[in-house]
Amino acid sequence: MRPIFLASTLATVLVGSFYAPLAAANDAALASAQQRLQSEGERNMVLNHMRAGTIAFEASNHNAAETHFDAALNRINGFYADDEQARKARSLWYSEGTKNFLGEPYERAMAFYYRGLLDLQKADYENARASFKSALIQDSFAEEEQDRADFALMLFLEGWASHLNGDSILARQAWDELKTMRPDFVVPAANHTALILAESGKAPRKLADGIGHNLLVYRRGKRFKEQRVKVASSGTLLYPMEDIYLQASTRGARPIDSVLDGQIRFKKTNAKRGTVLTDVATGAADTFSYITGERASTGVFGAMQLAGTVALAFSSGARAEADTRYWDNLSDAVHITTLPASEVSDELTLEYLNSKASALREPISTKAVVTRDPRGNVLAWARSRPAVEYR
Amino acid sequence: MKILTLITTPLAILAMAGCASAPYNPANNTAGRATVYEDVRSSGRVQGIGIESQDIASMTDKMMRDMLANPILAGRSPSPRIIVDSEYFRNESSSRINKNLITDRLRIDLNRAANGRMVFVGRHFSDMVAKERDLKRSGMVDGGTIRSTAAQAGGDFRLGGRIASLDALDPNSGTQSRWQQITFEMVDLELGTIVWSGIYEMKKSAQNDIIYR
Amino acid sequence: MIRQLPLTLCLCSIVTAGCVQTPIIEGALPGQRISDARAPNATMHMNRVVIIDRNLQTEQSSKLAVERAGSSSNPTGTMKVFATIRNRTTFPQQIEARVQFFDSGQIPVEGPSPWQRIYLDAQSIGNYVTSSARADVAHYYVEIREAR
Repeated sequence: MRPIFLASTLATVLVGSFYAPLAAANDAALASAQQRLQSEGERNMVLNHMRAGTIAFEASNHNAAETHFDAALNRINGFYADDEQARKARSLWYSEGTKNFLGEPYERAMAFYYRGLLDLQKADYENARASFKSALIQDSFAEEEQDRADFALMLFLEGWASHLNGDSILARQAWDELKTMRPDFVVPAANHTALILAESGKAPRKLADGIGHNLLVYRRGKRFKEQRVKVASSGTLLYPMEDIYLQASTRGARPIDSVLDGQIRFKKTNAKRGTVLTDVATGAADTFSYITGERASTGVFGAMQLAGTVALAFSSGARAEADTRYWDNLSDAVHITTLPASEVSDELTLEYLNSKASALREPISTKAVVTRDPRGNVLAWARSRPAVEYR
Repeated sequence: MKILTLITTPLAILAMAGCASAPYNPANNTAGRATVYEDVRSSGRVQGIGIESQDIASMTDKMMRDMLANPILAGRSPSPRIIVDSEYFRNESSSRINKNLITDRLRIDLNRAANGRMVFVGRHFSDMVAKERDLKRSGMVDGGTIRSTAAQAGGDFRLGGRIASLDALDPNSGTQSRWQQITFEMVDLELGTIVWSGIYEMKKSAQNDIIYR
Repeated sequence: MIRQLPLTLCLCSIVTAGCVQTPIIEGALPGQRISDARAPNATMHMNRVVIIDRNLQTEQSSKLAVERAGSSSNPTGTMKVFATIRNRTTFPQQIEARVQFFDSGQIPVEGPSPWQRIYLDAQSIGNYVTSSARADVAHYYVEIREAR
């Protein structure tokens, strides 16, 4: 039995047993996301777990969020070296979207981010740190060296988990490294044990570009203006720690792009060869008919036409489109601030502002989910737009 | 005569055939029945580069045997009181793990094998013990049959340790590797000296298909 | 002709003997202990290091050599077992070893232990060293296989 089959069997069991009571909890959004897990199967399993996990996390449904992100991360952490879907997606006759979705590095990193936040909420700082470290490793897959492991948010959170765990040396190491990327960031004071995290905007989009739709390009989410965040009561402006769109778009060329490029060249060559051969055959047959006064549909001209048609069929059968499925209920950016736990009230409202930190024409403000963990430390989390609002 | 020879000769050849044959394996040397159970002490069918069951089984067994061969820990009279739990066993690695998997297995293996040479303090059960002691002393329940003591047992030695990792990655080949080092140390709870140390390390690497890099 | 008749009858009776008494298959089968002079390795020998993997060693060829093996007593009375293994190939090898311990009556008292991985460089030696957890052991049995 191959790992992928085991995984899908496990998913069926999970969907069948664990999710059933959750769906009955009248949480329509989560139920619909979980429905997609069943209907779209293994191919979109990770994507749908990411979507459902985000909705559950927003609704403070910790158990469901943990289950969804664990399921997604188990697949992300697995190694797919001899995978049937991967083999298909590499071949000429299937598009890249045939493969089982595992996400691009920024999406995998963000799955680790939410898993880490769930750990922080339970005061499991060591596993939170492991999650943020794993997120950084995912970011190391960037093609351009300067963009490798530059996910400042994860580095900050790695340091934050160490800070809460009392590992001051490890925290300092992480934050020292962070300062090289965000020189203006002020490192949290020793007595800061509350973290306010706010997400703004809409998820980065993936589009297929190029003549054969073989190039994957990223575009910032559409129709949102909020780019800064402040705490409504105190007016404290949050530090814009991470631009997720930038993380997505600075990765550079992917190894699979060369495969897709080869497929496009094959497609073009065969289309050209097919057209040339059918044109030559038709032209020659016309000339032959003109000279001899007979129809020339068989023999050498017929064979040429046939070869031309086969080449054209090859070219139209070759599928080289890039995979544009993306985690659509992510946010565009993440903002942070830290303060002593005693200064955070359970009723915390965040106000979203434009890029110049002034009020939006259509104001947006959200209430943060404030969690006091078993050790008394606080994590307040909010996002400008509901996770159920896809695209 | 000729007929007899014709019959007996092939029979004789058949009878002799066994003596002249090459070495053979008389065992029914075939694979066992397929099952979903796997040996926790061997690599499974689903593998990653993190800490897996065989690593935990292997490292706790190694540490347990090493501790029992150490006269400071296992050769004292009276037997020392030891605390083995995950309280001071840190995970600084990039692998998410439930540390109790390691410390529980170590404590239980040690306790089963020590046979009184070491005494284990269940500090993680101290709440449970405190509640029962309160009930006994308040007269809600009787004193039990064993004995009464002035206080719960204090420890002589306690386990500390750390899981650390170093990750490396080649974005071109999609190969990811993780070196993990797990250290175990037994600390004298009066003096603070480390009386025993053990280390276990492993390095694993794996490669993803190009389509997933 | 008549003189050869007894021989023919005798051969025929041997050949047909199996057809007359068909065994009845019923009931559990007793476990077998192989005791055959032609198969000296078919039984277990105490205080041995054995290679259980045919990828590593067959009757004709072997990738490993067990150079030394033995046991001693630890200060706490437990038994220390060691085996020094030499890689006979020009390639690095990964092998795994485990041990089982028996008391003086050859009754198993411990194990098998989990597999411990040993890394052998080309043409190099590696050691497997372990100790028993109990003090009442008298014999050991070490098994080696290719790492997986």
